[in-house]
Amino acid sequence: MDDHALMERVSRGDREAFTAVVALYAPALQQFAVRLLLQQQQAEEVVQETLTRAWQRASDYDPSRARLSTWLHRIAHNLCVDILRRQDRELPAAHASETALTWIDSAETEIGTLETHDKIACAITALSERHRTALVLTYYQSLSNREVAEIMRLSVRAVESLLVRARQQIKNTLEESS
Amino acid sequence: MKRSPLETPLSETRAQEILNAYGATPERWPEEERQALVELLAQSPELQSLQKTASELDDLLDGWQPEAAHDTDTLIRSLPAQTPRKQSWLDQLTAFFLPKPIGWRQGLLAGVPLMLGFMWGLSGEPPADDWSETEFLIFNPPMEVLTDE
Repeated sequence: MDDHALMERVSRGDREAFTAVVALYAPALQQFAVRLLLQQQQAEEVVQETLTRAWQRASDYDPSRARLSTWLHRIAHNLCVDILRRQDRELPAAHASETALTWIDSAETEIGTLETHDKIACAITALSERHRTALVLTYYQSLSNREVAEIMRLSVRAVESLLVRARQQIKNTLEESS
Repeated sequence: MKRSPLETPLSETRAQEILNAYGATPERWPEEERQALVELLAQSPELQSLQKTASELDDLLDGWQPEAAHDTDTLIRSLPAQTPRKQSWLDQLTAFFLPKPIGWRQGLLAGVPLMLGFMWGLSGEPPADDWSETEFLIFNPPMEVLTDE
């Protein structure tokens, strides 16, 4: 069943169709939120809220404007950005690096002694919210450049620019740590 | 190889930009430039070297797979009420004047007599009566009418 038919049923209150939407998209949304927020609990709340909004506003979904995956990612992205901005207001200083170290559960460990995958986690989490979002949507969510641009409300060129800088920054962080 | 209409010729600079932004995996490259980049890569050792470097970072990035558990059973069990569909101003205006929605079939049916009348009016002959004669007689009555009295 395509996105349009599925959401048409959801908009009529069909719980079975909504369960199918959840089964199809919840895992990807969870991965997205975890990679952006770096916290399981918050990521789970974002996914719950995203899907609740999709249920409540199913009739607003317009398949001619976006794929269902893009629409859901945009809702989740907006929720994540709200959380990250709130956190930045509350913890403005060195928030990114602190979060990174909390994420890998090695608060007292120097970056040079970490395993490679932890170094990568650390480097990615040290990116700004916009760089991380562009990277996560493109690399891990398998969305096209146009879809990423649509979710972030940017031009394709602007997303590309964020990706170039994100990759360069990760490379620099890894080189410094080795 | 046949090029699709979506694909455009690619400069070396643009190819470098794509590799620097999207990495080495063709699936991540912009669809409309993918084939052209594959062809350009085959001819350029510099681009191949750049792709190799990008591929090393891709491998590292692929290694970041955080655990992501989700519990959606609770969500499905406790779904809130749905919000009604947003109405356009035209829908709202129609709803104001026509509280009960009229289906397009009924609307079409009601329009048929109107259209028939309109078409009949357009296709008919122009009025045959020539009023100029009457008008002439009113203003220039015959002499016998004037002299009867």
